[in-house]
Amino acid sequence: MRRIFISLLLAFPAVAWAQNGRITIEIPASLAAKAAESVDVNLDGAMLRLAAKFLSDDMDREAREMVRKLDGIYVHSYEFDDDGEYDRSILDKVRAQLGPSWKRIVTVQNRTRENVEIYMQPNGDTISGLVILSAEPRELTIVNIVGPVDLDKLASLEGQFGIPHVTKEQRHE
Amino acid sequence: MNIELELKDLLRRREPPPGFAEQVMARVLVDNGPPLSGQPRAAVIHRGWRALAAAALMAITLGGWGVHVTLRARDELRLAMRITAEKVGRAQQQVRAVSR
Repeated sequence: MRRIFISLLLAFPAVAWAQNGRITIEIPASLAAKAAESVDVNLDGAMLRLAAKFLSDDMDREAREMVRKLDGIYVHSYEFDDDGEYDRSILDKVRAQLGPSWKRIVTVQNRTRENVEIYMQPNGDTISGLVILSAEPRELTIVNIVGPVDLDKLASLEGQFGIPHVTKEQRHE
Repeated sequence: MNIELELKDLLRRREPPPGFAEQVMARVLVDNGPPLSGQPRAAVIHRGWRALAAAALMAITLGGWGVHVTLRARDELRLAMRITAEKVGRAQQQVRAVSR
């Protein structure tokens, strides 16, 4: 009973945080060590606004405006040399934080390729948070965007930031 | 304007106005009061120059560190947006492919 109470107390801050569009992403250090490539980006609102001022003209004004309105971008992405090198319970821990205020809007399931889940937290007419879970046999990506996000606008940014539009098939060629 | 050009412009060496060094030294002497007994005037001036050099070095270091942090944040932001846009775009493609 005591253990349950302590677990509830420990879980409460994470759930309360998830109400504001922010989730806790706990990645074991051993995972990054195992990965062939890893990306860990943690930018809070202040850093985002500062960084947005230094974005050059290769981004359009809308993209810059979108970034300025955000309160945080947290991206963790790992690529591995072999299949199944990461523990899928990492994803379960993220899902457990997404309470009823979060809605799953996209699920792409494929046994051998990419599985993508996109969750959003609606706030009136806008979105106050976005979570993307992408699990491939050799790649794990967890994204948390805090603040008003326009999904269509976000998808339209593909092709900016110095990369062309790339399909999955092209990527693995 | 290109960010690199802006930064170069910000960090470009600028010559001080004429008489700046003399004004600073005069101010240092005023702030430090009269030389202590037995301390030659040259030593006080030397101390003033050292303080000035230390302040300049600190300003350059802090400024450089700030620029470095900001540029790193910008690069991280680009990378984060690239990954996110790619994931959302691909999910949308797959959803469209299924709904056709």
